[in-house]
Amino acid sequence: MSIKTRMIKERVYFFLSYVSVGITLFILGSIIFYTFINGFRSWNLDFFLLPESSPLDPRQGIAHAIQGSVIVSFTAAALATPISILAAIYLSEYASDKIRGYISNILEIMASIPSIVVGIITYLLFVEPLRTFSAFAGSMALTIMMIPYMTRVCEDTFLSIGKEYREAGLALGLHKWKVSTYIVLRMGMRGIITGFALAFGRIFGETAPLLFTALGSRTFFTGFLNPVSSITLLIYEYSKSPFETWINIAWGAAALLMIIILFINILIRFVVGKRI
Amino acid sequence: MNIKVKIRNLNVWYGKKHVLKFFSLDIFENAVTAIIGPSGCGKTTLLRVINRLHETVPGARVDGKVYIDGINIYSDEVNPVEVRRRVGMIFQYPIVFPHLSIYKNVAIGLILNGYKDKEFVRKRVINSLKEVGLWNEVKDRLDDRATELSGGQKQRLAIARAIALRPEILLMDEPTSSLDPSSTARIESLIIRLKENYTIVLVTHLIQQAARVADYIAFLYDGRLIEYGPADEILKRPKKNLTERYLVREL
Repeated sequence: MSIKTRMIKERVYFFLSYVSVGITLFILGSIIFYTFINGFRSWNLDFFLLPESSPLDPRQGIAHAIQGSVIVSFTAAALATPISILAAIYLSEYASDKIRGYISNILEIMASIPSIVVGIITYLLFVEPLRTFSAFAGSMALTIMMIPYMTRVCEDTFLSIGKEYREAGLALGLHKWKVSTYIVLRMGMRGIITGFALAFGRIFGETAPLLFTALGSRTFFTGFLNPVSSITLLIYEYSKSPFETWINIAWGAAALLMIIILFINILIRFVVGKRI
Repeated sequence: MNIKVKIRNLNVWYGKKHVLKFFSLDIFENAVTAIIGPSGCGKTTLLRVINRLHETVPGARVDGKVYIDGINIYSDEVNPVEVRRRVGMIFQYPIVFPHLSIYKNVAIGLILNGYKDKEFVRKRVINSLKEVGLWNEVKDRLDDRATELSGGQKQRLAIARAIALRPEILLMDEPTSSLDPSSTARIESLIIRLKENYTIVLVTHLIQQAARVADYIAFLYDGRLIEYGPADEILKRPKKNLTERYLVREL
């Protein structure tokens, strides 16, 4: 192969990789740009403070959906976080290699279940028996989504902590649970926060698991055993509607959702980027 | 001199590997006993048997008796956690907990072992830091992260953490192997000072270090105790051919 052909190949290769990066950035950029341009137009005080009204009423907002998202997601996070951390501690500190292997596989499978299927399962488990769509069922669906993600990140974090720290703790005459709690868990705090933020960012943007569980609502939260709205459910409903007011509000809600998710991602970088 | 630790007919296995074989040894109180021998001869395992830390490794098995002050620490009534409170350990690499301050790194053993009186803990921490000669270097930055200390300081901090619990025995597993010569010299003189209050078992791969600090030397080879006695005798007039060959670095 002559030098000339090699140089041409090299140039083509570089050109193609630049083009690929360009396409990726263009797609991402246009999604963000288009959403923000369309979304910010409907942002005003009413948008953040008022709940839904008639599609003909110019004064309305998504406050009920923001409230619903926050309630459902935080309830799920409050349930999933301790379960995930304890499960990860069990896997990294107590389980034999064999059991850890089995459970890790199960978690892998759980994490890859399509979210709509999680919604259906939660429907069968919590909606049918209680005979009502509810914020509770929505939270349970998101909890089920969150646990495998967070457990895996926490487990990886704990396993990456050298065994010498555990031995140093045991050598001080500490019981194993104290070593797990006060050394392994504390040393892994950054990993836990990262795992939490990743999982939370994911469930906060979920729609499918909420469709058959939280259902959606036109009003503010009225109790855990009643249906509740969420930002994503609102986007789903409004974007299908024939009313321009609602379609615009859906854009506004989409922009807000993206900003929240971006913010969570930046927060992760901040936490992970900070040195010990 | 009193015998502090008495090991009788000890066998240790990791899985199928027979690491210590029919091992017996007496360790004297308030003395430095150095364990020497080629890599993989069972030195570290011997240390970890004395505080029952080896049993945290899956597949480890012990047969035989280890007496501390006449009590067999492998009898059913003895809780390994209690043993480890009485037997401190220093590791090959200085271990500081990166999430804790300098102060907390020393206090952690006391706090987590249930010492609730803050003033008592504080005094213990200060005394321990003074005992290892670290107090003057860290007294103005007790709340700083311990990871900012140098390697030699970290190792002295680890020793302070161990002695804060006032153990009777200190096990040291090649404590200077990752340190520069001047830090090594400080740790060695510290070891000599510490033997006034503690019984010290030191694993080392440096014969010169054993010569500098040890009162007794045990030479191990392939999981067996080959020779044991006062340091001078072992170093100057070894009785066994294997010991002599190790000392002149033929092994």
